[in-house]
Amino acid sequence: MASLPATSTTTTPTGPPTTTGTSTKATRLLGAAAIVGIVWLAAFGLGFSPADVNQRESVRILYVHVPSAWLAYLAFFVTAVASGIYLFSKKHSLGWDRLAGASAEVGVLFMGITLLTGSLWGRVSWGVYWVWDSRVTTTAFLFVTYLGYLAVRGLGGSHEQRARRSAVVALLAVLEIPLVHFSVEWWRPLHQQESIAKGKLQNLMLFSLFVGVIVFTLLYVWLVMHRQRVLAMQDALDDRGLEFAIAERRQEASL
Amino acid sequence: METGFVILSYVATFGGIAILVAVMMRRARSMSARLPPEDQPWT
Repeated sequence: MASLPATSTTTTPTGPPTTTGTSTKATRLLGAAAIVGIVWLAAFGLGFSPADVNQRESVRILYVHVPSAWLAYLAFFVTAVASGIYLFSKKHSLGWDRLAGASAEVGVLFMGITLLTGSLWGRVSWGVYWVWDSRVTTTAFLFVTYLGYLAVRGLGGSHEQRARRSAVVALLAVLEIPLVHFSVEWWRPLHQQESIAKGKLQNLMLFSLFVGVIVFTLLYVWLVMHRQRVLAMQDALDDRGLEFAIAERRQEASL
Repeated sequence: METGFVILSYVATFGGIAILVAVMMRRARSMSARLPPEDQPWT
């Protein structure tokens, strides 16, 4: 891609060029809250919450494993909703497509964390890092599906083509989430069943899990806001690169 | 052994997020420097 002229750098009248990136006051506040939350989660998850009678110390992995799984579900659901709005609205705003893409990227990160922490927990609880039971296998399948979604977004074509085809994939991929969630009920796997709804977690354990969910939600919102802006800048650079290349060709042709 | 796995899971979780954030922020700054303010309505 042709590089843009240096005059596109943001300048201030009193000082050197400033590059603000994607931060605003709101994202800085959100980021600070997320960092405080991480410290809080580490304190509760690793310190204040008690060890479990059966799982002993390894229960502490729950406070990062379960919130990351929930946030991955949420991220993929947001991707589907934003894709649906893009596809079925009259305006076909690319902002919805970028929200879908940003949310899917963050969702893939959280899903990767879920698989990794689950694998470590499995090593402690089951003695192996991986078992092909229904929950673990469907989760891995969901992870691979969304990697595929991101690959589809990376295919060539215009922004509109990218948005249209990835929206269709997102609306199909989200159908896997109920399969993953209910796999523990339908197939009786090695993976434990629902703990929270059945009241197996109480007091400090439940509170630590709640802290984890809040912290991961803050992180999700913060990451999606930044990632969406990066995608917007990427699209703008693509458009401007094309404009610049056309202008260059015209200039060459006129010589 | 259990404590090691617990700590490793926290390090992997927040380390993974930190790496993504660092890469994303670096990319954001680099792109921001190449674009005019009208392409960055949040600024």
